[in-house]
Amino acid sequence: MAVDEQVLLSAAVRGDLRSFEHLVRRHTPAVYRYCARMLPNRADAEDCTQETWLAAWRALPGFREDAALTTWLYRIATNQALMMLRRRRVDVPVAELPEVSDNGAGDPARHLQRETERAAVRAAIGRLPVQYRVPLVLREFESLRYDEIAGVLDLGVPAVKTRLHRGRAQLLSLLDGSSGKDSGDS
Amino acid sequence: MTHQASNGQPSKSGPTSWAAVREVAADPAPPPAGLAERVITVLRSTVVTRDWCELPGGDHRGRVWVASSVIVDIARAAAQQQRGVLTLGGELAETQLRLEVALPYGVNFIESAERLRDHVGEVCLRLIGFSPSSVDITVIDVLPPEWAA
Repeated sequence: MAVDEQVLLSAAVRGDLRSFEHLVRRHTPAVYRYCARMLPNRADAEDCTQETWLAAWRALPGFREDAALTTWLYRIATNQALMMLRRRRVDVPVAELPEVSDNGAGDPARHLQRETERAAVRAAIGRLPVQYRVPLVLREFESLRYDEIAGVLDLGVPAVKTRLHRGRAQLLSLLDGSSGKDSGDS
Repeated sequence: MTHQASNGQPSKSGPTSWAAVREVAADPAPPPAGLAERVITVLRSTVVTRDWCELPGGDHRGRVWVASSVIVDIARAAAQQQRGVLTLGGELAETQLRLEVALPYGVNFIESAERLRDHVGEVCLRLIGFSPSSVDITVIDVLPPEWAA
C-alpha cells in the first residue's frame, strides 16, 4: 500500500469524507471490474459498485489499518454482489461485460469465433455456483493470491484451492456444453 | 477432456479453450465514465459525515473512538446536573465544546458558567478520559427564579 494511501485511509477511518473520496476515485475501477465479473449486466455492476462504497464507509470504523484495503474492499464487494444475486435471483449468464479489442483483426471469421468463445466464457461464469464463481473470479480474473482469497472469503487456503479446482473443472465442463455437476464442497 | 496443466490451471482441448478464459480475464472492463464521481455524489448526499474523536489510551491492542455527538450528549447531561441549568444545545468543533444553556434569573451568569465549565470538564475527563480544550457557554434564555431553588 502506498504511504499516501495509508494516510488517506487513516483519515477516512477517523471520518474524513474527503479522504475517503480519494480512495473511491482510486479504487472504483477495480471494484467495478470485479462487480462486472460477478453480476450479469453493467447496470447491476454499477449498483454493486455504489453499494460497496456506501457499505465500506459504514464499515470504516471497524477497519483494521494493518489489513489490506483491497482485500477488505473485495470482501465487501463480494457480500454486496451476493446480496444482489439473492435479492434479484439473478443467476443468468454474464453476457454484457465490456467488449475487448479485436485480437483477430483482419480476419472476420476468426474475430467472430473469438467473440463467440468469450461470450461462452462469460455465460459459463454466470452459471457457476457462487461458491466456485467467487474464488474463481478472484483468482483468475483479479489475480489474487490464495491467501488473499482466503482472507476475502474467511476460508482456509486448502478450502480455497479445493473450490478453485472444482470451479475450474466445472467451468470447463460448462464450456464443453455439458451440464456441470456441483460436486459439493469441503 | 480436461487435465491439470503444469501451472496448476487446467488445459483443455475442445471448442472453447482455457485461453478464452484468459482473454476474458485480460479484459480491463473499465468503469463507465464518471462512475466514481456519481458514487461520491451519492455518498455526500446520503452519508452523515461522521466526526470522531480518538480517546487516549490506545495501544497495539486497539483504540477507542467516540462520536463527537456522544461527547456533546455527555457534556449536556453533565451540565444538566448543575442546579438551575437547562441545556438546550451543544456542539463540538475539534476539541472545543460549545453549550447553549438557560439560567435562572438572579444567579450570577459568570460564576454559573465557571462552575458549569469545571463540572463538564471533570465529567468528560472521568467518563471518556478526554476534556474539551475549551467550553464556551452561550446563555440563550432566562428561566424563572424558582429554577434556581
